[in-house]
Amino acid sequence: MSNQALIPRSVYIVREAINHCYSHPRILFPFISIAFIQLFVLEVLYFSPQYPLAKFFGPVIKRLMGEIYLHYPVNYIILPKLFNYAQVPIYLFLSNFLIGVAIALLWAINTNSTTSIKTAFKSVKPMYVHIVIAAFISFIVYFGLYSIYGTFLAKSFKMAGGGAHFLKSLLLNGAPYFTLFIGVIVTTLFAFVLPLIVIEKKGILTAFWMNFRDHMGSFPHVFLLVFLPTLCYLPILLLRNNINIIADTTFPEMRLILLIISILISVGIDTVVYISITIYYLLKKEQA
Amino acid sequence: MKKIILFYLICLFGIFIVFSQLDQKSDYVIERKLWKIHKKYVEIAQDPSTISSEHFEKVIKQYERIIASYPSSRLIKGVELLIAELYTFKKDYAKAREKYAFIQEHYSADQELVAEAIFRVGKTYELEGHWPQALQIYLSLQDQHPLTAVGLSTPVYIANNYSRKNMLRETMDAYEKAIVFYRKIAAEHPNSRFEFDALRYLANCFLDQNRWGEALETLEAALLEYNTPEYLNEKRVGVMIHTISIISDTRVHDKNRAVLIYEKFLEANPGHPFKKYFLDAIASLKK
Repeated sequence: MSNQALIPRSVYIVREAINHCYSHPRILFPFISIAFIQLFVLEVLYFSPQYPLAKFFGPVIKRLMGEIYLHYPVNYIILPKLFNYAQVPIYLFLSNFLIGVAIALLWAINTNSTTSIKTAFKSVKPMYVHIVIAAFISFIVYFGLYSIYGTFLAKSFKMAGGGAHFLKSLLLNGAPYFTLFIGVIVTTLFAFVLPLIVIEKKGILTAFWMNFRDHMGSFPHVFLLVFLPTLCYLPILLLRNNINIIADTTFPEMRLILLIISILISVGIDTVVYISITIYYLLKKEQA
Repeated sequence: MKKIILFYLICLFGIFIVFSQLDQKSDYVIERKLWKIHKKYVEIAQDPSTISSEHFEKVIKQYERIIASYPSSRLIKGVELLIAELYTFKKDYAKAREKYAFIQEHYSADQELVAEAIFRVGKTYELEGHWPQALQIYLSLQDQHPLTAVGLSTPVYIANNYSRKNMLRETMDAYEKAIVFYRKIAAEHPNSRFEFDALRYLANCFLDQNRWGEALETLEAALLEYNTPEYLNEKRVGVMIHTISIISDTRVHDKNRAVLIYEKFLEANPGHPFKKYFLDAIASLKK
C-alpha cells in the first residue's frame, strides 16, 4: 500500500469504527464497564481521606505519601498519582479482558451471528489467563520504554551546554507527550495479540508469534489507527500540564473533574482504537 | 445499553451520596468548608485597607458559623485565631485583643496557641504605634512561655525590630539579652529540641552581630550534637552547610575551618544519610 493511501484508509477505518459504535451500541458495553470501574475506583480514592474509608486508607496514605495528603485540598494533588497506581491492576486484570469481550462482540457482528454480551463473556472467559499474560507483557514493555525515557532524562541533566539545555527542557516539558507516544507504540506493537487470542483462540505464545510474523508489515497502518484517535487526548494533556494554575484560580475540585474527563476521553479513545484494530484485523483476515 | 448506563450512573451517584452522608463531622469536611472562607481571608490579608467593613463582618460571620457547627473540632482554635486576625486587619484592635484574651482563657492547655495569642496581642499594640506596651507583652511572653516556638523566637524578633528602626544601641542590647536567653535555655534543656532551637537562634544572633567565630562554634555544636533525622532534615542540613561554608570562606577567610567541622561530623557519623552533602561541601571548599 502506498503512503498516500495509508492516511485516508486509516481515517476510513477509524470512521467505520465510530459508525459501528452507533449501529451496534452493544459493542460499547465493555468499554462503558471499563469507564464505570475506573470512575468507581476514582470515587473510592476521592473519599479515601474521609470517614469511613480513611480508617483503611488513612494509615496507608500517611505512610507512603505523608500526613498532609489526608487534608483538604492537598489530597487532590496526589489523587492523579493514586489513581495511576490503581489503574495498573485494573488494566492487567479487567480492562484487557473487557476489551477482549468487545472484540468477541465485534467478531460476532461481523459473522452475522446474534451473540449476546453474556455469550461473548462466556467465549472469552477460557482465554482470561492468556489475556492477562498479554497485558502483563505489554505493561512490562511499556514500563521498559518508559524507564529508557527516564534514563535519557537523567542523563540530559548531567549534560552541559546550550544543546543540552534544549534537550533537557524538551524531555522534561514533553514528558506527558512522550508517555502518550510510548503508549501508542506499545499498543501498535501488540495490536493483534488480543484479536488473535479472542477470535482465533490462540495461546499467548502463538498469538505473540503470529502478531509479529504475520502483521509486522501492517505496522505503519496500525500505528495510524492508534495514533489518530489518541490525538484527541492532547487537550487533556495540555489541561493536566496547567492544572496547578487552573485549580489555584478556580477550585481544588478541578483536579477531580479533569480526572473524570480524562477517564471518559481515554475510554472513548480506547473504544475507537480497539474497534479500528479489530476491523482492520478482520479485513486482513478476509483478504487472506 | 441505555439501561446499563443508567444503572452505572445510579451506582456511582448512590455511592457518592452514601459516602458524603456518612462523613459529616470529620476534620476533612470542616477543612473543605473552611477552605472556601479562607480564600476570602487571604484576599483580605493581601490588602485589608481596600476591604469594606461589611465584607469583614461577612467573613467573620462565616467563620463563626463553622465554630457554632463544629464546636468540638480541634480545628476550631485555629479559626478563633483567624477571626482575631481579621479584627486586626480591620484595625479594630480592641475586638482583636478581646478575641485573643478569649483564646488564652479557653485554650489554656494549648501552650503554643496561648503563646501565639499573646504575641499577636503585642502585634496589635505595635500596629497602633504603642511599642512600649508591645515590648512589655513580648518580654512577658518570653518569660512565661520560653519553650514555645513563638516564645523562643521573641528575643530575636525584638532585636530585629530595633534593627529595622536603625536603633543601634537598642539593637545591640536586645541581641545581648537574646544571647543570654538562648544560652540559658540551651543550658537548662540539654539534649532536647529546645537546646537545638536555642542553638540555632543563638547562631542567628551571632551572625546578625558579625560575630563569625562564635556563630561557627554554635553551628558546629548544633550540627555535632543533633545529627539525628528528627533535627537534621535535608533542608536544615543544606542551610547549615551553606552557612558554615560561606562564613568560613568569605568572613573568616579560612576554608579549612569548615572542612574540619565537616570531617569531624563524618568521623562521628560515618554512615550518615546526608554524608554526600558533607563530602560535596568538602570537595567544593578544597577546589
